[in-house]
Amino acid sequence: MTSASQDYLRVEGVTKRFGTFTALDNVSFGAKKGEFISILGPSGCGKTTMLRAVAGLERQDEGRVLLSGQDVSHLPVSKRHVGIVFQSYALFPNLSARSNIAYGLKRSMKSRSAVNERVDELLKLVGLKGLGSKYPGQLSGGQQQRVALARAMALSPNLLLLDEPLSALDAQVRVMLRTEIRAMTQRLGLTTIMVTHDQEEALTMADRILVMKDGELVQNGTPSEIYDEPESPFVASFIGSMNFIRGSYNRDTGTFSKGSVRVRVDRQARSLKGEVLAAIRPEDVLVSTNGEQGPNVFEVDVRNVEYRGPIYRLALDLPLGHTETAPLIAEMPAEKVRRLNMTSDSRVKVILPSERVRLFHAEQV
Amino acid sequence: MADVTMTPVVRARGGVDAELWLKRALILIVSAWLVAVVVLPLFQLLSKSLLDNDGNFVGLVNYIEYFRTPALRDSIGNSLFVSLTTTVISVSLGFLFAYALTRTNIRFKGAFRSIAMMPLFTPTLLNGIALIYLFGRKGLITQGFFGAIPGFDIGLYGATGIIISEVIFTFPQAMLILSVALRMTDARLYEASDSLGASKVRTFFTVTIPGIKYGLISAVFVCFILAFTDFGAPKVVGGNFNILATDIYKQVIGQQNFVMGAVVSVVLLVPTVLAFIVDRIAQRRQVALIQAKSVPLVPKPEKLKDGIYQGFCTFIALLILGFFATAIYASLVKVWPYTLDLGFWHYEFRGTGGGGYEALFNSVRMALYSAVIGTAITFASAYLIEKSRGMNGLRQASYFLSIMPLALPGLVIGLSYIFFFNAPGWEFFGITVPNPLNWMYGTMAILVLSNIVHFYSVSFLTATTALKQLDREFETVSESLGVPFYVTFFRVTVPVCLPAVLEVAMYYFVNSMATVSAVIFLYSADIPLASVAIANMDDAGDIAPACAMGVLVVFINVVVRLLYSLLTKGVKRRTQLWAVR
Ligand SMILES: Nc1ncnc2c1ncn2[C@@H]1O[C@H](COP(=O)(O)OP(=O)(O)O)[C@@H](O)[C@H]1O
Ligand SMILES: [Mg+2]
Repeated sequence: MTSASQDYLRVEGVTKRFGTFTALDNVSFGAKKGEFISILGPSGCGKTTMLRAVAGLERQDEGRVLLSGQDVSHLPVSKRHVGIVFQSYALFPNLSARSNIAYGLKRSMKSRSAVNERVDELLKLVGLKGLGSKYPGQLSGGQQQRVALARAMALSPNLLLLDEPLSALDAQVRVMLRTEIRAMTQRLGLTTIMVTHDQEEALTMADRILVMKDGELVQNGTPSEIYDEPESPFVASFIGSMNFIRGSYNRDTGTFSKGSVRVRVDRQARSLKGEVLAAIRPEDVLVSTNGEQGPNVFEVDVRNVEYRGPIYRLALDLPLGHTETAPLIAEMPAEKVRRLNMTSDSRVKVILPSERVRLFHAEQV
Repeated sequence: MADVTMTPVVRARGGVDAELWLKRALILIVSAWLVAVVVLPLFQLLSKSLLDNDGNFVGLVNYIEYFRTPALRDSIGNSLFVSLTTTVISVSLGFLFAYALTRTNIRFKGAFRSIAMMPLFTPTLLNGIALIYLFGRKGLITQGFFGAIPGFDIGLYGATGIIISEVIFTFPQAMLILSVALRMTDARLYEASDSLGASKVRTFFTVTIPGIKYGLISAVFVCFILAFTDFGAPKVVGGNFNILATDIYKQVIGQQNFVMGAVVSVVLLVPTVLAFIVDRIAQRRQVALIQAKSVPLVPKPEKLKDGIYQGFCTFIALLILGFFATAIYASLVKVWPYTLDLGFWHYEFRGTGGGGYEALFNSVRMALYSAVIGTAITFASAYLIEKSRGMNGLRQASYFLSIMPLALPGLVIGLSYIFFFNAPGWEFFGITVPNPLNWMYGTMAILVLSNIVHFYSVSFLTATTALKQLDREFETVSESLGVPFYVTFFRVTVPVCLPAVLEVAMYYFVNSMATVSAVIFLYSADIPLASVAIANMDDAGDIAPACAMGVLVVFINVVVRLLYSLLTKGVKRRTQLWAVR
């Protein structure tokens, strides 16, 4: 965790209600100068509202927003020195790209030539040199996005706020802009908050990810913390995919059991006992190639084999005794699947590595 | 992204709080304006109906007298009868016509549409006058085309004449509303119905009718309110058949009985307001219904069906054209029906009252002022109400007051304005407050104001619809860039909404030209108006010059409408650059 004194932005216990509906529920987090933060969560969980509260477009009912240690809760958006890119871009359709970018500059810059110079600089910054005279309607989605970004950057904001900036673009443009935006904010040392519902975007771009659910901040961590150490089944299944088996946990022996299956769990399972959820990521399920034996090796039925390009996705049935089985998804390199000649209805042995199995409270679901 | 150094930018300072206060003040002004021009005059009208002629409070005595007088009381039934009959006929014809334009493959749709809209530009007085030339005692049909063929008397004066005039008046409205409704229905529903093997009749009742349910409700109420409150046509062809609208006029102008005029106005208001409320509830439901994207329906060619509708539309179009042709012809004939020489005698307005070309010129001036000022006020108010944040209560109240004039008949607006603006002052608890708006009485200003209020709601809804289509974040973007909202309003909002602005201006102009009901109470002898001149010339028996004046009004309105089309085309061409999204 970062110490509060270092943070450029601090959000403290912010709650926002719309009538009786609580859109933000006591959210707190911080961002260091130059940090790139992603707010990730399903649609309707309050991401945009969070961003608007930080921007000053929405006034929180409780809590404070601090910038450089100063409480700005009462300041309007124009005094918070933020640049905002909206989900819809909100480019003015009747103004050229240049005029859109210059929109906020005319009031702060004395001469027309200074404005022009600045606009040129911004056009170059977002890679739109020579396209300044086009209207938004004449530009592609990716180019419109760049104009919106340049307009948000025009007043040299201290904090850049992006609301699902890439969601309207096709896959290729999205990947390219991802890298470009990240490079730009890094070079300028610009503190950035980006809202997204795309986990890949968050994982690849952010220094830190805030996962939200129903107006609450459920986890705050680096991408690898979020992926490898999810604190709840929700985070585990929202970012990446996860196999869950409901069963019981014996803290003394460190084993999880369900039916006839016993799984050794290495991780310290804190205060868990009784009914729990055991979880393992599909890519952590290994195939035994040289007849290992042991507590975490199981014979499973291959129900279905699905080709996914570089990998295969296997739907497995883990027998729990008599007739009961638990479904288990595994992902394996294509090369391995071919070599072992795994097909539907075959039987294989899989290993659930004890250090890759996680446990959650059963009622956390 | 390219490697460039970033110039530090100094931000403009301050102004934010001032701007917020300015916006609040403007919203307050909008609310105050609506209260002043809608609520207070109505209140004045209501209270007047509870006073005697000397200004003493008498409670419901006037109403009791009203209902005790058969000559007055019977008008309620008469009014309901003609307006309900009109509604049934208009909505049926309007539906068939709209159906033909949207769901069949007939030819000349554009021409049919334009012809069907002609009555929108016409003073309803002219409807009555043209009918006299067709079906009156010396009418073209009654006399069998000047004796060429056997004549036929339909008994025009009375309910028959009123109903025919009102059908002509309300048909375009029904047609337009139903066209929109029919165009909105989702084609996928028809495909589903087809694939389930439903018969045509079944599809019509299970898909078509429910699909346009709200449009149908709206068309019914609009036609009803228009026919129920119109005054022009009944004045000309009503004969001894009394209806509420003509009663108000007779009480106020004929007998100078303002109190009874107020009572009849309130009686007239009751069904209108009820209709308005029901329609509002229905429209609110509809909003929820049309949010999903629908697939437009492309009609399949069907020989028999297309043929029948082609015939129907041609018939209606010929009737409307014949109607206007009669009016033009009659205005050119020297002495109907004796000397059929053609010429412009009646366009000289010599030896007739009414004010002639001065009246026409005043009307154009008034329509122009109403268009310019009305559009500015409507658009600015709609913007403040639609695009502001905060002050929700006040904005909702203002929205309601903005659509309320929809339920106010012109005569009621006119009469309540007499009471309100002519009042020298009011006494509150013994303190006399002089009327600050008293100066407006009898000037051009009150005429313009009455038109703006009379046609406010439709304009306001047009503006609101256009504003709703703009990105919600335009205001936020400009706020975050430190640009005042009024700059964005003029630089972005207005240019992008220009088509709607022009439409609103055109609407104000043509309606202000044609209307007679509100202004007939408010014009002064120094400012004669064309529509009032038609009424007065008709009263004096100068029907031919009245007809000529009506034709001139229609002519000016059609020219303005064409100008609007040209302008819109120009705007469209210019905006095509940025219209694609
Ligand atoms: N102005 C508002 N009034 C009422 N409810 C709102 C408003 N803005 C957002 N909400 C509600 O708050 C919730 C969170 O919205 P939002 O922050 O836009 O979600 P996200 O961006 O995560 O999809 C949603 O349920 C939404 O309906
Ligand atoms: Mg959102």
